[in-house]
Amino acid sequence: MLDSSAETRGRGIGKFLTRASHWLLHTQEGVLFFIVAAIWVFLTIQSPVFFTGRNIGVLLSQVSMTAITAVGMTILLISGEIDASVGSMQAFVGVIVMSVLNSTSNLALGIMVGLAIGVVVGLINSLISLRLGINSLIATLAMLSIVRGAAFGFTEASIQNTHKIPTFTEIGNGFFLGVPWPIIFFFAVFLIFYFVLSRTTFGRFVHAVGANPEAATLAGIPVRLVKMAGFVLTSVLASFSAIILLSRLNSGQNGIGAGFELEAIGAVLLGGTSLSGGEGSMVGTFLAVLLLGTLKNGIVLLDINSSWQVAVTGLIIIVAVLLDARRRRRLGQD
Amino acid sequence: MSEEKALLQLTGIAKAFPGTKALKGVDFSLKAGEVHALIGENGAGKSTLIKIIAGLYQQDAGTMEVEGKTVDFHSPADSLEHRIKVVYQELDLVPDLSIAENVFLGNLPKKALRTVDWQALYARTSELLLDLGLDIDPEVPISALTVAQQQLVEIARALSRQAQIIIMDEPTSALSQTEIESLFAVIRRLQGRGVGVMYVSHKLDEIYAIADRVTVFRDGEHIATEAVANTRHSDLVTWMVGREVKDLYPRSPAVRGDVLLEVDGLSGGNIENFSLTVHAGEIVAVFGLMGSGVHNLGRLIFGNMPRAGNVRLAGEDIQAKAPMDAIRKGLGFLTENRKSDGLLMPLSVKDNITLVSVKNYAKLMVINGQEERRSASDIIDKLSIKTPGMAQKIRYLSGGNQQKSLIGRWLLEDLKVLMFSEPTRGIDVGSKAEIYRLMDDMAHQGMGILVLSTELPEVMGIADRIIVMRQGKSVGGWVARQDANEQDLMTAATVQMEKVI
Ligand SMILES: Nc1ncnc2c1ncn2[C@@H]1O[C@H](COP(=O)(O)OP(=O)(O)O)[C@@H](O)[C@H]1O
Ligand SMILES: [Mg+2]
Repeated sequence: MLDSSAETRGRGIGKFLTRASHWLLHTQEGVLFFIVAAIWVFLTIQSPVFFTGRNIGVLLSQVSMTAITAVGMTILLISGEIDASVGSMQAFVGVIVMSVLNSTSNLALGIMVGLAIGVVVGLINSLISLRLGINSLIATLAMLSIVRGAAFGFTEASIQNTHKIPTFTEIGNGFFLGVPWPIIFFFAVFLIFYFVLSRTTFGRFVHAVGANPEAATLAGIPVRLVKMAGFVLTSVLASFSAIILLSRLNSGQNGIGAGFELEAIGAVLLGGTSLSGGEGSMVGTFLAVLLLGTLKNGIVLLDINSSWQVAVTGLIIIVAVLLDARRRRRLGQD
Repeated sequence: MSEEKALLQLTGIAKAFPGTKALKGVDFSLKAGEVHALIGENGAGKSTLIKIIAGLYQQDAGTMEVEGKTVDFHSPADSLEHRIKVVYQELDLVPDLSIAENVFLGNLPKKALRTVDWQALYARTSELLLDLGLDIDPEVPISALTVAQQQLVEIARALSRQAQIIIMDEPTSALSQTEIESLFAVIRRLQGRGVGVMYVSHKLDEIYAIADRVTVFRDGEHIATEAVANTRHSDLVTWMVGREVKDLYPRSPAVRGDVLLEVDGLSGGNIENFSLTVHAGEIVAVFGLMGSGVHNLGRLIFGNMPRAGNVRLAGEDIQAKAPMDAIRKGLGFLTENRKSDGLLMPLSVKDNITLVSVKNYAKLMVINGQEERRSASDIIDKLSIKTPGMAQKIRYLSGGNQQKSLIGRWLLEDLKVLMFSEPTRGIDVGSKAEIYRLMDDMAHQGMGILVLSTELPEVMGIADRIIVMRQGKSVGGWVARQDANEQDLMTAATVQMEKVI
């Protein structure tokens, strides 16, 4: 990882270059960076539209929802758990928040309700996984169906925007100093949790409980509490994504977000976070999300059949899981 | 095959990892019917050599010959093909499959229609097991066996493939004395059939009991190869450590202070109504055989296992809920299972060392990186932990250095009492002496030390007071250096007769 190699190797231009080349060639992050850069160069040559401020803005805005959820998911996976319910959350939070806004015209209240749903669902996920001891993949897959069912139960179709609060529309479509708000949210969430994961005791504990829960317990770390925080965080960030999505779509739709969970989890795995817990990389997640967005964007620009957009996610997951398996096989030999 | 020709001949083997030269051109040879021991301190390069022979790693330089022919292994399959079998410390059996299925895994006897011939499978497995002196139903799943029995299954697996070279990496570290005896009997039987056995261990007594020749490595270099009969114990130690270890047990009694740890009527697991006290400046050891409950004692006291009874530290009650409370009040615990209960393999040496104390370097949860690194680096220096840097992943350190890192974890806390379960299991002589010296230092600084051990020489050498545990009960207490002798303690730990106190 970037920051850890800094600890052994000290300063100086030469050392910096050695470090940079090691990062590029020998880490999953480095390889990802390389691939993204290569595709960007390729697309810039192929399409005059690609490398324009407008298109990059569109590209990043489009992946901002996946990115924000993936940030939480990175932390959760490092802690040794997973949340598959984030896809249905996009629909459920959407329909609820939109109807709260319609009936109260109170933006702050709507957002609070949306985030509160995240807290509650996160708590339920952690309760089922940690208290009842059901594998979190199974538990949250069940939750995926339950939450989707709740969205369908709440409304038969979609809930239109009748409140017309201008600030609400700004969330997904507005600009701040020329930068779309979704991108600002995405970068802010990423930076905050990059810091939390690498520089705080919470981040350290997340790694510890994922690497070896028994050792963590014996070191006095409240293992369940740390994992519970991971579940709640992921679910709340998924709700935040849902609110941005809601603003972009301008209606709460009960069927939205199918496959969203695969995109988020796939990006985290591709970024080098291990399925077995204990290690992972926020920078890797960032780059993987960028790759996902670039591929989707490229498919549109090069006028390739757009059903490939969906296939790309599946492809990324397969590659990610293969890489993870290969890495684990290598370590198994030590 | 002539008597003289070596089964296995390694010449000038070198292997480097990023930051370490694990092997710097070493030689090793193994003849048919021979037990050749390989010894060396942790990090000497023993496991690396084994992995090269097993085809897991490739050497950077040097040649490997099997029965006089140069071989080049690219995978474990290549090594198996030359009838070489490694029995690793962490056994690689499938717990849910039966013994028979494990023994013949990948090699199951088939009937005409390529279905498994179960009858033949069980019959042949029984035969192999009986051959090894193990009279057990081959249909039993591996998970129902003891570690010692599992090891024998691994050896049966080797025999099922007609192995001619069997390599054992520290096979006895989790075995009881009687189990070790029966393992040795099996090794002698293998020897009789002309199998060559490469035996890796830290325990010098074992070398004298079982080996014909011994080779010593130190820091990746070949130091000596000698017939065991011509070698003195002190020679082996000097070769391994590179200096004379005069005093393995540097215990100098410290001033005995107030009571720090009081355990009163503790029950849980197989332990019943156990009481003890540890004073400041004192090293107390609880000695028992494997299965006596000594290892559970630490977990009960630490609050990591449901219990009845009271535990007080410097007068304060320690709750039974979770270790957090014990740690906050100044109790530390180093378990006997480094891998499963202590190490965070994917994390760095630094993160492993500061796992408990990291909260002390943080304000509002933000870690002061400089302070944390300084503390970790102090520990690395103080315990002379061999690592290319504190950012190295701990999984790449050798066992002794991993153990030292775990001890370091507790040195960074302001503890009143530290409990060590099997403090030197799997550790070489040099590091052992260092760890005992550390315990002595801690006692002199006014800490109380509780040692839980199944190794009698260690208990005799380091403790001020000794309590013997048998079947979960205390069967007597001795004052070391006054009335304790090995004979009495061993008798107390094994015989159904209690010492009258
Ligand atoms: N996969 C690896 N990567 C980096 N260093 C390693 C690896 N395996 C072993 N080492 C290092 O090589 C040296 C020899 O280790 P090892 O062969 O395990 O010693 P031993 O088995 O004698 O204790 C040690 O310094 C260890 O840290
Ligand atoms: Mg070893």
